[in-house]
Amino acid sequence: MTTTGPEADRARLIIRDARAEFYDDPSVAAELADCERRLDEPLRVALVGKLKSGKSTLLNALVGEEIAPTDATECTRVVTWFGRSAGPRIEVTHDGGRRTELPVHRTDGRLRLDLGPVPADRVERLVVGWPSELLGSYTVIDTPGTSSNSADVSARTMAFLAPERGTCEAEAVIFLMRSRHDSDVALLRQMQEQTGAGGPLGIVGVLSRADELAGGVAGGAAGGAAGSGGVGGAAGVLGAARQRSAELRTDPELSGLHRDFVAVSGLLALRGQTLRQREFAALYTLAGLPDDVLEAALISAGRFAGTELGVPAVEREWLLGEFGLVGIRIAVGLVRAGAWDAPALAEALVRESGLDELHRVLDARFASRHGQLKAHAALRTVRGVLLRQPAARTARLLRTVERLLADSHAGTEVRALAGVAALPLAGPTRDALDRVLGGRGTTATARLGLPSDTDHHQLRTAALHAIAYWRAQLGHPLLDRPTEQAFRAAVRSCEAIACG
Amino acid sequence: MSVMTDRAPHGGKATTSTVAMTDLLDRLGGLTNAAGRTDLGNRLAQARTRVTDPSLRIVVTGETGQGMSALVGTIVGEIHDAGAAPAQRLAPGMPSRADEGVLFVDAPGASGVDSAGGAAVLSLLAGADAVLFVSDASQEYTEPELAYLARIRELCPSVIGVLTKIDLYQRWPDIQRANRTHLNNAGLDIPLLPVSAALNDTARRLGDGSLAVESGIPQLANFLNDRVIGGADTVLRTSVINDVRIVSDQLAMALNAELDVLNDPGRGTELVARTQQARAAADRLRAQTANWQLVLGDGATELMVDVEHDLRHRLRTLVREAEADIMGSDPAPRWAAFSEWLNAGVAEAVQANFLLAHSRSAELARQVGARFAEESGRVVPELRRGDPSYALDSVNSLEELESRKAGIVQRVINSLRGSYGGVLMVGVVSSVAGVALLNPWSIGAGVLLGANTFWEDRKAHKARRQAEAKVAVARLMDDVLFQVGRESKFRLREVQRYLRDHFSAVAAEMLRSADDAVYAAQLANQADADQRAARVAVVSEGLSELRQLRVQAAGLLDRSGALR
Repeated sequence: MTTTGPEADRARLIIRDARAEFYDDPSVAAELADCERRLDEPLRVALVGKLKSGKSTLLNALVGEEIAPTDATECTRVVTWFGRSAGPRIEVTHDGGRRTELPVHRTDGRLRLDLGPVPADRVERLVVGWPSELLGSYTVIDTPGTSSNSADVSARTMAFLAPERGTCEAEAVIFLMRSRHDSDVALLRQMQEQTGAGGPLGIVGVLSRADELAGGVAGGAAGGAAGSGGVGGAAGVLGAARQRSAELRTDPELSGLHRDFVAVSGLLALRGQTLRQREFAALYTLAGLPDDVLEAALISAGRFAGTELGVPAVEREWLLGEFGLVGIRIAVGLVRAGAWDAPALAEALVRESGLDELHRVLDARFASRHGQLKAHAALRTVRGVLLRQPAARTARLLRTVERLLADSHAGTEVRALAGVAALPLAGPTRDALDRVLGGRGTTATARLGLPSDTDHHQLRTAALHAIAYWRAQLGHPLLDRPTEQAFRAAVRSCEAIACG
Repeated sequence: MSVMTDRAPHGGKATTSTVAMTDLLDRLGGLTNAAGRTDLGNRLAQARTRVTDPSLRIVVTGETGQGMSALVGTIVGEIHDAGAAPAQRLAPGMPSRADEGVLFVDAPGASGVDSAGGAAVLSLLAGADAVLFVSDASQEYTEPELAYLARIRELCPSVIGVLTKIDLYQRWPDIQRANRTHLNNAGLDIPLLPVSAALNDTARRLGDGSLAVESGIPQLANFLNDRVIGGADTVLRTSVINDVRIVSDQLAMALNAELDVLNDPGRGTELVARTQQARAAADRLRAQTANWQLVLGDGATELMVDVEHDLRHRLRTLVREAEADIMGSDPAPRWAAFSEWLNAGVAEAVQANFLLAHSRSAELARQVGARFAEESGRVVPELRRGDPSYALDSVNSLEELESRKAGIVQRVINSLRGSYGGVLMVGVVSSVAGVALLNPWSIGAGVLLGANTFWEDRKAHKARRQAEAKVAVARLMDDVLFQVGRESKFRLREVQRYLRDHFSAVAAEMLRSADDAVYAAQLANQADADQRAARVAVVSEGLSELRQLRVQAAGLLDRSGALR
């Protein structure tokens, strides 16, 4: 895979230039060659969040298979890289670069990550290779949760995100949080400071474990499951979470920080993608029970496990373990709302989970900006390499690198885009702004909201109109600073199209 | 921070002993009035107030969204069921004063020690009888939660961990186990009770007993009834017993002196001289030069110096960190984040300083109390202890139970602990508490931000901005040190005054008792044989009445002892 686009090309040129300059120094040349290679690798996306924020579950949901181990208590203890490979393989780097291949074990479809004889604190990197389409576009890095009581576990994540030497290896971040606590805000702030200091440029926020908010509302009663299809509606399952997500957009505590959080239930998304016939059969039987019987059984996990419901005890235990009580309530509600066979239920679960929305945001924010994000990261790394060399040899190269880094409208756009949700704008204006900044895709037609077969002349005319429009918006006397910056970025984006 | 209060009445078992205690206090009150001792009467009246209005304050706290409000509502209902009186559920924010009950203070949103609400919550905790720390079963304790727990524990010894929402998370036993491990590792010995308010509500609606047990709420209510409310009851009884003992000791001093002289007229003059010696000791106790006064004066000075030094040290460390940060890079672009970090650091320092002031004040109160007890031991006149039939010493059961036959010094110390010890600490604690309420952010408002606007106006050099940033930090620290230091000194003087007033009042009571003893002994020494016979009967009568009250008080202790 070759990364294309003007930014990537410019970065490649400067790296080659630097390699030519340092051809006589094999170690520097090797580092620079690494940078160039990395330019063509998939985007490195790190999953970051407090402990138990659902990072591993979300990773599994994105991949569609259970390759990151999950548990009720703290589970991920080392930074783990998931990349694409032809066949499953696990490799651990430890004790100063020694590499050991680990055997691949799967039980019940779950990958076991057993470090074997290597203790966690001596592991430098754990790499899992997996044949997966998603991993072809992104290398996903699962980090252990912060705010952990095991100080060394939190420390490992911080060492990865904010290394003492060099720049953060991640090029984009998915930030997960369950609800806004002080420690979440502190971590988010730290992340964004990293962005300023040469860390990952792209951030996507996820309001995770979103199904639990719905479950909390349903309370002791069987909630939607017992109601007549109340859960089946599109607004149903994650309604409470979406509400919370909307509140976060105007939350003063997050002022100046990323405020756009997609509500996602990793659990539902994963269950939808791994749904088995036996699970569907059990859920189907439950959905057929009279309301009062089902309601009484779904009061608590203990009740459910202990009530004979025409589903064998072992199956009930299994369902509890896989779906949780809230998940069972939601799944039964979906069956009742019309998911009469396993494929339909699987589809409904994925649809309700918010995963599609997340994919859409990831595409707009990461995939369509692949070249820009990669180039930014490569330039940062090159800069780090050059700064360690004698100034006489690097002055010219560094000037070019600094200029390319500073002249990154892509960076301005990404930052402005992240703030759009919080701006005090009317709905249509906000949508237009989001679109023109590339929130729905970065092609010229997507930005201007035109059909993809629009000809060059029309496109240019539309772009000039758009420039005039956003300039006019800038004239408004009561504009606050973030809005003004976003409008300026919009003008600049349109200019790029018009010059196009 | 919103404070929500709910009251639940005490359990039923407290009421019978409440009657016994008020009865005892009233009868002793009659005797003090007869002896004309209004000072002692006041003390008994205070004790009576404590018995009839034993307000308990239980603070419920934890991170937001952990199900606190639901829990408070459910528990109030449940404690009510265990007791007799009707439950009162008050709307959030409404002040509440029931005659008898438990006050639940809901202090949500304290999501860690560096949170803005943290300082205010800490001072709520300082006077609490128990704290329920709420965390839901979706995840184990986080590091900030444990840090917060450790702080709570410093302020209130009775902390109960509550694991909520167990109906939603079937793996809650794993979470409980993980939490237990974390608590053990942190050296915190705290009971952990799993509950579900939602399950309990459903159980009530359906009238389902086994579901109620599954919800864990009845267990929590019982735990509160037995340990917290019951424990407070034990403390209350001990304090009543001690008040009875002290007041009856004071009353008996004159009676004993008189009786000794009446029974042994040959040694009359010598015995009068002894009461005069005791009176002189009581007078010395009241003087400025009394040992306890010196301990208090020196201790308070030392306390203030230490607390201020501690604050200075903490702020200096913070300034050093801040300066290193400023010199690391240009402060202008990240000034807002930096201000926030610095403010959090200041809040942290002020809170830690408050904790120190709190524990050191309590320690000072203990030291002064011990020294006072030691000195006041000499005030009781050394009289003849020959005939056990009319001396109060015959009623030993009380002393033996409590002090395990310790000497008089030990006995007075014990009585201090039990009786006004508890009340004393409340006074000391509430004196200190205001410091935590002090808002360090308001102090430096504008100071730091002001620097920033300055930079925007003028395109200064980086070095210049760094220098200005350092000046801004230094000014903020000066402000904090001045404001917090002044407030803290004021509070600590309050503690000192409180302790001095308290012990001076006790010394005055003792002096009066010693005066009475001298007067009674002198009168007895001048009496003729007929008068003597009549007085012996009256005095013996009075002593036996006191003795009876003490026997009854000892009975209270038996019962309370069995409760433990």
